[in-house]
Amino acid sequence: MYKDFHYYGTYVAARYAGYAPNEAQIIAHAAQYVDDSIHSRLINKGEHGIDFQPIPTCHTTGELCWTTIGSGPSISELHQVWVPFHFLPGNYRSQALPDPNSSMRIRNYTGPQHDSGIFTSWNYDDRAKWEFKLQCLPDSPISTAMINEIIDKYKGQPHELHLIGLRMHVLADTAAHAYYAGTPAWHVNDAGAKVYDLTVNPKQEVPWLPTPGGEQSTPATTIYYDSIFYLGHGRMGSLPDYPWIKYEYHPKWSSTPIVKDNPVEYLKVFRVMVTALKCIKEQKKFDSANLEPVEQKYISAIDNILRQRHAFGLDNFSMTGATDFRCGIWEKAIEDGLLGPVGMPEEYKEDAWYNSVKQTQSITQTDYYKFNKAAIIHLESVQRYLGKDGIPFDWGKPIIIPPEPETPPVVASEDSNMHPMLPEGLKMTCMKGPDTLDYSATCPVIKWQGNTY
Amino acid sequence: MTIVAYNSAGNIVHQWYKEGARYIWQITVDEIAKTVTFWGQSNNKICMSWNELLTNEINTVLNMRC
Repeated sequence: MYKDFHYYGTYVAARYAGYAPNEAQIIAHAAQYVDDSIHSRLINKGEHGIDFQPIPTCHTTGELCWTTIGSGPSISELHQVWVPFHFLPGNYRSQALPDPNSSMRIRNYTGPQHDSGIFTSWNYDDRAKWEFKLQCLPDSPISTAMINEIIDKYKGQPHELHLIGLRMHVLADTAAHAYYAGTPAWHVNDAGAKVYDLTVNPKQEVPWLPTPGGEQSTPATTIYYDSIFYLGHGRMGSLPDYPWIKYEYHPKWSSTPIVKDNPVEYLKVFRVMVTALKCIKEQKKFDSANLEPVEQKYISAIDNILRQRHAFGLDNFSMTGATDFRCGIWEKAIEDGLLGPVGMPEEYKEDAWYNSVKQTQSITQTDYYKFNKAAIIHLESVQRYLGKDGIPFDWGKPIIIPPEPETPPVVASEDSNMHPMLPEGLKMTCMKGPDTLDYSATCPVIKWQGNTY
Repeated sequence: MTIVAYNSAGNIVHQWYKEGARYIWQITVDEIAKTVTFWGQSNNKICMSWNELLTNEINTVLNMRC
């Protein structure tokens, strides 16, 4: 998915869930910033008062290209970025988390068992089975747990909205990126060259470069079965991120072709996002099987936005042509009131949070600091969830189960007249300030670990 | 000043008596030092570590600098 859904879609979902425009703005910005928090926007620990080492949540195409000659991100870093932030694993039955829909969700492997390439051969061995488990699927145990974790642990934290936005990105991607994995794996992510556009009748082959007007994709190669070309949906180019397309392709892992109906899946995940956001806001347990209602006229309007077709090949290299077209459709729909009184979000600027760091004295108050804190929280959560299910984050390395994070106390305010029973002999006195004897109508309290102090 | 901890049912689970400040008007949290500061009249303050807020040990000595 691109900015059209991650920014505008998330903003509208947050507004439907009851978030104020300024809160929805932060949530939406964080959702899109997952695709923009790259190495060049990371500030090292110690600079500008940053007291931890930020991690990237995305790699540029250029960085990935360098990996092919060994000087880009390591395989371990690829996993740290693409597994938790873009291809949330879901193709395994969880023992550690509630997993009521595993039989419906889990895909069976019906692909090849062996293959021989130019220099290497490949077997469907333990490593290959692990890679298949990392396949991203919607409605996975982790996708539910990460929302409920916000409710249980991060309500009221300074980075709550940033973590919500970041996880809305992850949640949305489970729809677009279903059946692909955030690890370079030939047998999961490769597919036959012929892909069909089913939105036209009769169905037509999707054109690939160098055909004029063709889509860009990564090439197939059997030199290395774990080549970077087999990371995520690179072999399918941008098709999984086009909201309008219904396409048929034949992934290597399946003995039969697969149909992906993006507008249907995108609309469904939009409703899941509204539900998740509403559950977080109202501190209700999230369950993607019980979707919150959204007015039918708005659902119809969003369905119409998603189905606006554009030409193939517009996003090649520049990655902006088709995205700008789709963002314009969201903006027009908001402007015309088709989505209700949600208001227009600010223009998204990918450097806004990064640049604000240079102009502040209190780094911990910046969106940049809070987003990057949230990124580490999310990475460690996914590592913890996988580790508790016995799934290594990197093949051949020990299973990682990061310790539960220490969540700080949260300062809140309560009505002075609504306090619980006081210990005998004590009275409660809250003032408006340090140098006044005026009583305050509210009292500061802290909320922590289920207690109020 | 006495800091009282209530559970979600409104029952008292612990209390700490601290000398040094009265008449609370503000609370601040230092995430780096892992402390909570209770601000009172004339900006006198009481500082408690997060660990202390979790323990059952009654501590009447001001032993933190915030």
